[in-house]
Amino acid sequence: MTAQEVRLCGLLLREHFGEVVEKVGTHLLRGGAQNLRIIIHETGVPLDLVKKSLCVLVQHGACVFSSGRKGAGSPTEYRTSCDRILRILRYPRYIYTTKTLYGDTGELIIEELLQRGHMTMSSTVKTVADRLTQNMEGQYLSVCINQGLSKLFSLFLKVFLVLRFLFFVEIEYDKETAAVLIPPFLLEGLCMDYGEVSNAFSKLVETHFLQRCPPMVAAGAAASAAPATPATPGTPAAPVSTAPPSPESFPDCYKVPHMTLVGRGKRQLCSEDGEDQRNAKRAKMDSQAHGDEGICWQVNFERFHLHFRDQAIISAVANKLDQTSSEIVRTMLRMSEVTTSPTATCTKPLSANEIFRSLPPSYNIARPIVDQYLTLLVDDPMEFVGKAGESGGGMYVVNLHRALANLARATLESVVQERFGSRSARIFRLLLRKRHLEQKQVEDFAMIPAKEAKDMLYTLLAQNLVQLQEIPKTPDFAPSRTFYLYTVNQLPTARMLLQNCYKTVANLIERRLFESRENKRLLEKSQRIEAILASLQASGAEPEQLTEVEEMITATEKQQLEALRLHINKLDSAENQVDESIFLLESYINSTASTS
Amino acid sequence: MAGRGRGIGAFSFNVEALGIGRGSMPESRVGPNPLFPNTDFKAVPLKAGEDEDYMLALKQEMRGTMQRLPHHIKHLSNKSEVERYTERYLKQKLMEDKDWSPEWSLLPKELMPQKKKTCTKPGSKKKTVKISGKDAADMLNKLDNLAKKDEGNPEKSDDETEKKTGNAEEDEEDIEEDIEEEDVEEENDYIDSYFDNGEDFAPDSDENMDGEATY
Repeated sequence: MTAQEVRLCGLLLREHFGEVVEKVGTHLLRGGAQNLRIIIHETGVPLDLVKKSLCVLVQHGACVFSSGRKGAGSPTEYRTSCDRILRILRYPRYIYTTKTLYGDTGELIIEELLQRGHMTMSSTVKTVADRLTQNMEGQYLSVCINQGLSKLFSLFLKVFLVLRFLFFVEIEYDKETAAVLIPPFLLEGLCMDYGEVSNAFSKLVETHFLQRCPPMVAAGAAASAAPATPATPGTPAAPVSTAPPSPESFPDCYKVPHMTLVGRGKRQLCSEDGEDQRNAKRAKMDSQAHGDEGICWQVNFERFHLHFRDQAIISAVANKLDQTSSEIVRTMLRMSEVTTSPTATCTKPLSANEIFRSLPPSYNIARPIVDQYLTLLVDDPMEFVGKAGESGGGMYVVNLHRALANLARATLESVVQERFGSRSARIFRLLLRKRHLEQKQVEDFAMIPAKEAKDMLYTLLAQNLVQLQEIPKTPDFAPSRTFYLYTVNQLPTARMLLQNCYKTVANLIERRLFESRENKRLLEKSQRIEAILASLQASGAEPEQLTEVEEMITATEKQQLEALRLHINKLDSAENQVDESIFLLESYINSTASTS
Repeated sequence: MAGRGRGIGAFSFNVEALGIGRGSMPESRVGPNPLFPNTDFKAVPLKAGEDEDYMLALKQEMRGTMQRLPHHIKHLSNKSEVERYTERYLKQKLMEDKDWSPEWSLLPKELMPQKKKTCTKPGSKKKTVKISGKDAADMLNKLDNLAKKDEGNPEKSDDETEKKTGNAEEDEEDIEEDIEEEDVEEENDYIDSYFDNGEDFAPDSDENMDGEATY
């Protein structure tokens, strides 16, 4: 854990879980594995708050516990790692991806699971169904209105006129917003069925986006079995593994449990005290066992990362070549989704015949043209696609690790270009390709005048983007008799830029918190006025009262609020986009770590 | 060395042999790097589009929701402060702490809120408390402590039955109990067995003979 990572993790914990969890979490990050007493003693936080914070951290997967290092019987130790906490930056991207793949239902399932850490399937389904039902009313009405005077709308209107005639129901037409206000009881049929949500959940599990939380068997058994079974001197005791079991090591990881859950989402009725009590009673009666107690589900981040990696490769091909080649690469990646392991260097070889047959039917490309495209892809210097044999019309693979390395290299080059100009970027690219060059050679190859080239090289050297390699002619390293070669090492430079990214995000968060703190009074005032306005509107007030309340905020304050909102949105959006670079660099570094 | 004191640009060997003239050296440093250096190249503007706007909205919503969930833990605040008006609005949206009970099968047992064992110490304290002007404040303190302990009880309604998993577990509990007991005792600097106002000397003398120190 570098200092930048710890600082960023602390800020993320503070924003999402509060200051107490931040204190406990950063202490664990800095101090390694510790047991409960040490945490209490060193942080100074009261006992029950420490316990609660640890529960929160374990529930969200940020902290793992295991029995102590001194063998069974010593108190459990808690350990945190930065990776899981840094994922919090990527939550919006996960949710948005699920929305594009599985629609609103999938989006809400993932959102609930990310907010709670892990939940049972039944509770997730219930919560999501309730939320969808609440959203459904507004959607239904707006869909009808947006279609204008289409058939649907006129039919709708006819139905309502009939109902109005038959049931003497008041149906209002709000001219301002062009919305038809329908009394709630007519919408009885519009509830989200639990079955649909369960289907979406099962689909997510099938494609491995969700996985079961690993049961606590290993850690618990090691702790509780020790006093029960005396360790005989001959047999070695069960090894106390310090590494926590990964969720994938359990065979039932992706099995959906058999669950009895029938019903539909509940709509929140207008709050009256009697109804609230009735709902509360109903909620208590509904909490029966659904047959899946104790089986908690969590989001499988690795699967999302594989998806993001595939998307990055496809968009890179689309940018460099054209749409058709990117479709071919997308087909190849889709066909090898199931057969490729997460750490594989390249996909399994696919024959050109298979690829041709699996192309989407909307692409009417002749067979020889597909072959030409494949040859183009293989010959491209980016080396996204490689040829692995000649059988079946040619066997082709997607080189995953090489693609990641090229994407990381492109990121580094663009960073140098944006910070130091295009001529420095030319020097940087030259050094990446030619590995080691003397100063004179750099000037010649880059076609830049000597003095400027020297300046740029020294600037890059000062920023540690370029390194100097000394090759002595004599053992005493005399400067006049040593070769000084400039070089760029891609992996250490990528690590350094990754740390810069973490620092950037931490600075962005700090600045946003600073801006909110500075204008705290103004924000509170606007919150209060909104609350007053809402309550006035609900109780039905005249427009003059509303305008009077709105005028409590002066024009300059409104301008200030607008500017503040703009700043905060910009800072937030910047965090999201820096996270994309973080993802690329992290994937590249992890891919090199697994192969080396 | 010889070349140091005689000017900055003096080298100990012949510079021209390297092919660099004296004038082509970069400028020497005057001090540390400025904290906010000038940037010649301004940053590229952020991407703006539907996707980015949607993700921005998601992010802000998620932050807001997570701050209202019960696992957003705040420090215990001093209850004697007057509650500010704005906090009333904020509190309405907070979910109750009692609604949240994590999945205990996935957590170590020591993290469960402990049932307080009924120790004899608070009992003996009650006997020796004499109601007088000086002790009224101490009595109030003790009642507050007991009230706080009682508030902890509804939370434990989620507890499963405690299993004694080993001596380590019990040691943990004892040590934790000791911590709590020490905290409670230190609340009150007066150790009651030393206090003697002479009122109840006669009736209680038999009971307190062991408790009172010899002085």
